[in-house]
Amino acid sequence: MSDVYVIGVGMSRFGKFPDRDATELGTEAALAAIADAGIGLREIEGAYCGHVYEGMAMGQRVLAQIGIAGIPLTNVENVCSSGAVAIREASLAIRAGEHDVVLALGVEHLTSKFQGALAPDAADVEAVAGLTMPGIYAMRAMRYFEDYGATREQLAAIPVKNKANAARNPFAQFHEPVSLEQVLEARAIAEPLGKLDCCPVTDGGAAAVVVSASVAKRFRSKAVRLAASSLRTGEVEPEPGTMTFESLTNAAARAAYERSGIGPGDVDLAEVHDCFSIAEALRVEGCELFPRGEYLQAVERGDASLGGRLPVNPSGGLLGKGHPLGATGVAQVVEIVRQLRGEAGERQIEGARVGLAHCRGGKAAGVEGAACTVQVLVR
Amino acid sequence: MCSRCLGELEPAELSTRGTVYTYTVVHQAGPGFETPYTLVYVDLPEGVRVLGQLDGNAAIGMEVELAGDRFRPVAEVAA
Repeated sequence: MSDVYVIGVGMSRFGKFPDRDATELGTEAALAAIADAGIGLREIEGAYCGHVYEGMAMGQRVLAQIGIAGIPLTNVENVCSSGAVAIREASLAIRAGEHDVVLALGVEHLTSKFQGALAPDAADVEAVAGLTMPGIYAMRAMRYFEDYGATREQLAAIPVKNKANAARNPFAQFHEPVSLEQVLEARAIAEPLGKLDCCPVTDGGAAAVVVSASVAKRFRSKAVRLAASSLRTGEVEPEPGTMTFESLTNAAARAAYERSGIGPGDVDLAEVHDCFSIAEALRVEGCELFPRGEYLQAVERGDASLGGRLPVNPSGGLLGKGHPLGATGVAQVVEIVRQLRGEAGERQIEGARVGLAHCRGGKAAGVEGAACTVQVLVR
Repeated sequence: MCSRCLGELEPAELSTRGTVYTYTVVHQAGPGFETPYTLVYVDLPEGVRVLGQLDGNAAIGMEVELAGDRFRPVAEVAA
């Protein structure tokens, strides 16, 4: 079974692009990743494309643009983890010995599909009662405050941190830092969350070239090892459990730690699925990167900032960089590869050697969450 | 069917009173919902957590009861 490496990454800028479409954004990202790798188009043997709302044959539309049609290609939908699952599938194809060079792609042109908050499926029994996506996370935040004595002000430090990071990322949707006051005074969405606690609606594409160990030998200066790429689906929930610790995230993280032989204490940076401010706390605690119930204090101390003990979402995360669903999981890997290669410019984390990417998506009635991935990358 | 034993499900009567596990006030919602409204997750004594809307101010730990298809604070009823 071959080890798996990422040798090239690329992405479009994230943002609202009414004059562009998913095919164009995906093509830009794919070409950027292939150019970054310095590999020939004809060497790509297979492809996976993650997206959620783009309809049939999304990946084929992109590959047709770059003239590598004909190869095996699979489109992947796994809610917000779709792009991360595209990378995982690429890694599995390599571990299985089926391919040596695979393109993993993620795209979404979300602004042409949604204006405001994404809603749970309309037939969901809880959606009928008025549950919204921000509402789910707002209720988790309320309970987190109660369980751990944390405060709204501490929570507001997460968007402040992530938007500050995004301001240093030329590919991010937002380039304006925000103050604590701006977060606290923003329009209420679902209490305690305001507009700046919620990720935006975003268009974008991201891509990675994933290869076997034998191919990676030719690209030593660029190769970053994908030491684990785990996927878990939520357990059924017959009895009510805590809403302030994510057993799904924890299961995916433990699987990744076990596969890679790397522990939470070895991680130098993390990109986690901060669809809402409180989500970042639940995710890093679920990955055991910070003690349970202590993350908001850690953010307040600066531990999760650039230059802190363990920077979280140096790219700006979903809150700052934006969240084009299918592209998000791939873009997290783009950031980690750039950080581990020392190519992250103004937001470079010195000496970073191990990065973790966490993606989690969706809600289906009766299960804790639809899909969760954790990937560990090592330089 | 039951996701644990794959056996048949049967209807069960639940309490109409429970305790608020957590809540939010929703200010932005989809079509068909007038905002703001308060959502509560209510833990029932049978070990079931249900979501519903609450008339009145919510707090974690408060006792609520069903009135039609909505919850209301228990204390308000006593007063």
